[in-house]
Amino acid sequence: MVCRASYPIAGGDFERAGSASRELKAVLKRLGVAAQAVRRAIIAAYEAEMNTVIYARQGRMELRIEPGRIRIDVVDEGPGIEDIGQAMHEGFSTAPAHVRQMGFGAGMGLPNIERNADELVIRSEPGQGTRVRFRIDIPAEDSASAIRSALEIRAGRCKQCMRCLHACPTGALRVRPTGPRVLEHLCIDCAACIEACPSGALALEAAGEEARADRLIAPAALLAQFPGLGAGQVIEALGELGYGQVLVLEPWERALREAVAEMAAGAQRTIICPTCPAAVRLIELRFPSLLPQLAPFDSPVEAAASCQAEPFDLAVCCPAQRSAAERRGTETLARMRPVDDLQRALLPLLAKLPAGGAAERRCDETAPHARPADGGPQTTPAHRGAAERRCDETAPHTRPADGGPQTTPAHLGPAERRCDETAPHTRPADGGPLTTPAARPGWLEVTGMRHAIAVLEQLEDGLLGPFEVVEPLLCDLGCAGSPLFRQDAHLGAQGPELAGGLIDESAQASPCAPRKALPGLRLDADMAAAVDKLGRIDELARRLPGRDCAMCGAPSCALLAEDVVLGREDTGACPHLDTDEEGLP
Amino acid sequence: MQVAQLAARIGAELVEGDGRIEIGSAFAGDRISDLLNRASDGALLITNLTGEQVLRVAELMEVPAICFCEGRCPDESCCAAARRCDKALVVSPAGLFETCGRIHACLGLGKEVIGGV
Repeated sequence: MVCRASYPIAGGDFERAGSASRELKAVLKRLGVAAQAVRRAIIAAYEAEMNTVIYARQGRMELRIEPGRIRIDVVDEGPGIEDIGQAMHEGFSTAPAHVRQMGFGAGMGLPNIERNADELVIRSEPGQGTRVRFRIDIPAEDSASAIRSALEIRAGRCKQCMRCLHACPTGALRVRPTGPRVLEHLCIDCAACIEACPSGALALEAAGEEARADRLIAPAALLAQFPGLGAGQVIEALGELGYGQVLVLEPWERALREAVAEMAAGAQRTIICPTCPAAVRLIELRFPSLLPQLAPFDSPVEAAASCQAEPFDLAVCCPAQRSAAERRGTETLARMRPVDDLQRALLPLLAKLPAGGAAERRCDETAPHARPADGGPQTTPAHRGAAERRCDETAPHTRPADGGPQTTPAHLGPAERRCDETAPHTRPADGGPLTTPAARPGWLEVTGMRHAIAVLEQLEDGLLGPFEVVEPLLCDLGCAGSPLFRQDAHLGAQGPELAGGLIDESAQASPCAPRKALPGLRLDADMAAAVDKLGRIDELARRLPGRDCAMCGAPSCALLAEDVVLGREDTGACPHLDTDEEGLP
Repeated sequence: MQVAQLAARIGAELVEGDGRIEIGSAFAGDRISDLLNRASDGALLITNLTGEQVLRVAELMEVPAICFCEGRCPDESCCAAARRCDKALVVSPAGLFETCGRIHACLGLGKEVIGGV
């Protein structure tokens, strides 16, 4: 759900000045946006509008309302701002006397916008005009109804196998005779159901029809999806699809990790690194008590999307990346392409190429060292998963002299697999293989839904060890494990040799407003009513057979009970229950 | 307190709008940016500015009444704008400081009265 509008602003017309803000206010009120958010939006919008009236020939105010956010751009054809830093200083003004007499031009406008907005970006060139862009976050309670899942349901393909029900970590799916249904207020846009569905009934919403851009931003794993072909050949094929420039997402991942590590160094508590946007949604919904520990930075996909001045396409590998980029609302984002869609488009092009690009692949470089002469399969790095192999670069130092099997990385559980003290050295100064995770002491990267939830639960209960940072990634081994990739997670996570052209050296972490809890799991806004409902749910759940057979279309008896009490379903849905039984609702 | 009652007590004149509008607090300022930030529902805006822009601020921020100082009467276009958006206009013969003081006393201590300028 995205609502857009545009209002013209006439420069110098003090009679009509403020009319764009007035129209904006009417729209926001009609949409039922919370009063406090309207107030902040209006103050910021009016200041920006008046700047256009005072200084520019003409301009326009562009409004974009998305789930959870209002974005406003005020663009003018004016003289531009010579020194934005100076203009942000309270009291600095270049306004003429007659404007000041009206109460304007006190040098408070831009600081006032900054005070009221959750984010403010000013772009201005002297003589070229000014673009003031700001964002107002709508509190979660008010936007919950507007949250929309990026999951696409192809109901005709559903075989009613119910696997998705058990895969969903938040109980957001129901399977009806007509196909799967998403309870959008519970969906975190992870890819768990897409992975579980054997018939393709659940997919990532396909790309729109919009024009494509010359630049593609994609996860590096995309380049490792075609066995026997090197990254260079994939990039060549992407060029045939019309992408003159390919940038990988990894530099933004690395910038985020650097920023989080810096923040964690002075923190008292474990900090959560928001690399995975689905994990962020999971925390917002299921672990709200951990929100103060979630580092206030955009995920890499949002950071990359928000800093592009030129049009670009974005390859996304899960619904959460898609909805995160959508929420960010970047104007230059031409089109989002699910990676499965991209791979399908690439296949026929790559089929024409001769194989043998394997020499370009990174794993080959290490191969001569990795394969021992005796070929002992249990100890060769080639037989370990990617997560362990990353740690392996430092392995000679970390392995105990006696080689005791209990302490080798390969024998550790996933939670302990973090790289150890020597790990910082694994990150080459030249920016080497960018898929290397932020391997630092005290950094726990935990991948896969089951493991991520287990670790977050422990963190919430205060049972987790002294980790500085926890980085939950909901897909196995991170984005390389997205079910939208053809290649196994371990192979995709190897990453290709990344040529310089793929890396944006200017990538930076992008700070964001502290995230707010999603009230999706809340039974009722009123505590007393919620307690009452909880009692009724428990009571009904006790009467249900407790088989969790999912034949009713809900993942478990407890969730069917919740559906019934919240009016989403009736008890008749349970095939094992005699509804005539005394005392049932 | 109703705006007509308040105007009478401070020796000001209600020149436009419904005198029954309830006033709970007041704020004053001569800079639009300050007025925007200090505005609150049910408050009286006290200012030296005249111009239609003050009306626009009142409309945007849902301020129900405006008090002009130094006996400056709003012009006809300003009154028309006030009628359009149901705002009450009051003209005080005293200066901003004196007007604020009188209103402060009327509304009683302990009430939130934000003085400006």
